[in-house]
Amino acid sequence: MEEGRQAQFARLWQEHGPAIGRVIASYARPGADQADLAQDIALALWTAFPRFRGQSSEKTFLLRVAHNQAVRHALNRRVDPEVDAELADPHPRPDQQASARQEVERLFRHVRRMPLLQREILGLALENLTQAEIGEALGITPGNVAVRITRARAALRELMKEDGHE
Amino acid sequence: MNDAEWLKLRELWQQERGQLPPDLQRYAQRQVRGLWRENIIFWTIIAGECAVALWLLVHARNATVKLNAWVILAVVALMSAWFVTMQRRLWPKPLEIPSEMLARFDRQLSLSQVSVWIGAGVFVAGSLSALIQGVMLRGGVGHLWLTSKLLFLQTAVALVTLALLPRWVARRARLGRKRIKTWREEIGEAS
Repeated sequence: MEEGRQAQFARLWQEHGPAIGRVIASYARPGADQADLAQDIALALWTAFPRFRGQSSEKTFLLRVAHNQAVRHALNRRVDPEVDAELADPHPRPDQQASARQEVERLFRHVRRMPLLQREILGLALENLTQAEIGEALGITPGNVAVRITRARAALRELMKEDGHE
Repeated sequence: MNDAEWLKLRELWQQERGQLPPDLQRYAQRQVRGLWRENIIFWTIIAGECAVALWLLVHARNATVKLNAWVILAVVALMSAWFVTMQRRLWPKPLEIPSEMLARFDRQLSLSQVSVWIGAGVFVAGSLSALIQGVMLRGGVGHLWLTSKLLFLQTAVALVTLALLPRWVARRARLGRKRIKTWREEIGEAS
């Protein structure tokens, strides 16, 4: 039974690793903070998985557990968004300048400045989850999800504008 | 943000792959095993203490000893409440959404206050009763001198506890509620 669980966990981790990586990047700063959150999420998934009954897709279940754990992590290690911004490499190498990677890092830095619930809803929407799936993961109605996604998008746009990023 | 911008954002988002440390599965398994080990050790000790206290309650003829057995049981109850709270904090419910989690923290804060007061009440009342029974009603300090000294010590601890507890409990509750309020704001529940 334990071996079956191990194999299942390994498969899920393999399949949805990048999505979990994005959850981590949207709540924790690169480095030790992200490594700690990855461990917390792995542990939460390992303990939660026996309770998966197939009422939702595996991806929805995984993202729900990962986001719940990430919110707890963020609450316990509150990081000043300004500090987060300052910790970003101020002098990137020439080959990194204006690269796509930098764009991605900047996007995640903006996301990390958003309130947690907005961050959660935006992250789930960007993972292509339907409104019904997002509502199920967050315990709110699909109608409420639509309103909150609109707000989260507007908030992110504001943050990007502040940074002179159109 | 229009739909074209949103699509561009989604493309950018999908480019992040994350850097996951290796062997996370083994880490999770090790942690779960550690939790089981901790639980077994703790509950074995608690069961032992309970057995001793119950044995004393059933077999002891001395009222002082019986009262002290009740005090042991009160301390055991407090320790168990503390352990369970710590475990829950360390091992949160993975499917619990943040607003449910904060509501649970609020409830737990009230419950822990009540359990601290009950445990402390039993401890103080038990100590004082034991002192009265063991020393005053049974022939003074010279009678069963070791028991008397232990009783005095226990009563002193109980009185210090009684003096410090109200401020400590109130401070913990105030800090706890403040923390939960900050967390609610941080989550953005109002939005």
